[in-house]
Amino acid sequence: MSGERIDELLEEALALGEIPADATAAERAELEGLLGPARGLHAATSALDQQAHATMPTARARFQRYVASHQAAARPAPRRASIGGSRAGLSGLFGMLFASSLVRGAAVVTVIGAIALFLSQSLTTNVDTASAQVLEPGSYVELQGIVTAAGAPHDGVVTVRLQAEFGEVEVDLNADGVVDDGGEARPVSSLRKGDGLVVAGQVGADRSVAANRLALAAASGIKKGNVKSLKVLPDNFEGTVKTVAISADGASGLALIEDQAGQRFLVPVTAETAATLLNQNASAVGSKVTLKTQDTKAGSGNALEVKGEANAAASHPLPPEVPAPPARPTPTQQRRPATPTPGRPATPAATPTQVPGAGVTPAPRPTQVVPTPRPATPTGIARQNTPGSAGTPGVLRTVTTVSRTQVPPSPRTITPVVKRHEAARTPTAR
Amino acid sequence: MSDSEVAPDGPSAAAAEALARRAVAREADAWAEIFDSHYRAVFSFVRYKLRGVDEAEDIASQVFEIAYSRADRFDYRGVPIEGWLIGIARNLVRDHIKKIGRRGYEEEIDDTTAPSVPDNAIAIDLHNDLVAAMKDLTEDQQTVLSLRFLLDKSVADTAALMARSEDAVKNLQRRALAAMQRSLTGSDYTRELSP
Repeated sequence: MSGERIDELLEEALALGEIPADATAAERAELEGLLGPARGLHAATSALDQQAHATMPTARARFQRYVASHQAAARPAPRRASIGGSRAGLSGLFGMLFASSLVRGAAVVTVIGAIALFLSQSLTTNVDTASAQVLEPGSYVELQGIVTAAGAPHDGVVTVRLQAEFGEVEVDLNADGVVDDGGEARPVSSLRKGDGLVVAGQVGADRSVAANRLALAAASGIKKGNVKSLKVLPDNFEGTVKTVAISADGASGLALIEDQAGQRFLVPVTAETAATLLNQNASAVGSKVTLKTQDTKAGSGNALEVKGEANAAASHPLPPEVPAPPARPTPTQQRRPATPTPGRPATPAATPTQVPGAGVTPAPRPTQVVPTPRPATPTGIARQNTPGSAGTPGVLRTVTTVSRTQVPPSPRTITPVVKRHEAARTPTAR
Repeated sequence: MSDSEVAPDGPSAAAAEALARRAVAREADAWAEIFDSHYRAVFSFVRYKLRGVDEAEDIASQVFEIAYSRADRFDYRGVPIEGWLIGIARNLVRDHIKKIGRRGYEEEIDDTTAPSVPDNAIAIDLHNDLVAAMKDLTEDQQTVLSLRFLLDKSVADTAALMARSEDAVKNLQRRALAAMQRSLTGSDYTRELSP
């Protein structure tokens, strides 16, 4: 009985599902032994399919995040211009060093040049990495920044570029909105370079933010440069929140925190505490927090414990949400252009329409943009016992009737922003 | 990727090449298509070599991340995308098992044979004795069985993916099944599966 003969018989048996009739008794016995494990492996494929099917959404989301972060890092974004400014500063500094070092010899020059290159690249890399981590497509983020450029209203949207703590970011604002500037209603379109803002909204596929909360804030105190990852949580770590984000699936949070020594760290935090921070009346940005390890359903995580408010950004309550410009589509949405096509935020219409769907509420109030397999849609929470906080899933319905009234500026508290989305208060009343 | 894409010709070859070109250019849509087409195969390929679903999902995800990061180095004229992904998966699993070996391989085997909570939760039984028997095989033996029986590849496709002759694949397959049979001897497994 040769090996080749058995190989051929085995192939035939696998193809036919039975041992060929011309096999001898000895061959038949050997083939039966070989077919047992083969059948077992075949039988296991359905179980493997179930496992692959069950794990695919998570793996796909992870891969999409990876591709998005790669593309953001590779994209020659406008913010690189400002980062280039940082490089130029370093180049100038090291240029001076370079000039003086000429006297000391070429070897010293080489070393200093290498250090300059290393440092400038290191700073740039860190900023880009922080930006990619904070601005994860589909997530909901609140951040503070200074306007570095403002565009003219176009198609109902004003786009401004902000210098935030982690880098530059483009923010789309509803062109119909106003901000309260010391009691004076100021159109969003009047925002100019140098204005300080706190904005909150959903991150689009290109890492821009479609703001649905907006307030004027201090136009200073924004640092540029090195942001580190906090890998080990020190005891009694305290600091001030500079940016906070909650992931699109509501499962995780991220905060950029400045410690008392002025160092800034990106820290993964529990979704629950990030949501609590985003839900508070005052802005999350500027809150003083203590970080503690906390056990959650998903394991232990870093919990943010609010200790108070630290700066001007925090002392000004963020206003209720306003209709946000449509978030620029996420990679998933780009692949699956579903109906309805995302257009402008909810427009006046007749009665609410019940739309079956599920998603995660990224906004801190029940009515706002909710990312679902469909394009982001302004929604109301139909089920009364559904908590309307950030990061919680809910049963949704589309609110198609929206009336807008302007928020009168409060004489006591400088309540910046915009126009109130009536549906935010009573989404089920229509 | 279907079997025809392993040795592509005609319209499917043109489509496969077009997709590969877009993948090399790192087009997000192309990579979304590649992920959706090949995740199941990559997951299945690594699953039997690892101890649990989470581990397999992690390694399978890494396969696509590495492939994407090395897209510009992919020579789509010589290798089908699936073969490329399987090659990355094989290397990742090899490195992973080396790391496990440094921590204690026996411990990992014990963990493997104990059904994990997620497995129970979705009512999946992967025949732990088969998993253990697979781990006794050589890497090539595991690969040939994974391709032939878990991914349902033909001998010709398996030979192409493993860069071996068809005769070598048949020989390897027989030896692998014989080794598994020896591992399983003593259990009533073969009787259970026999008609």
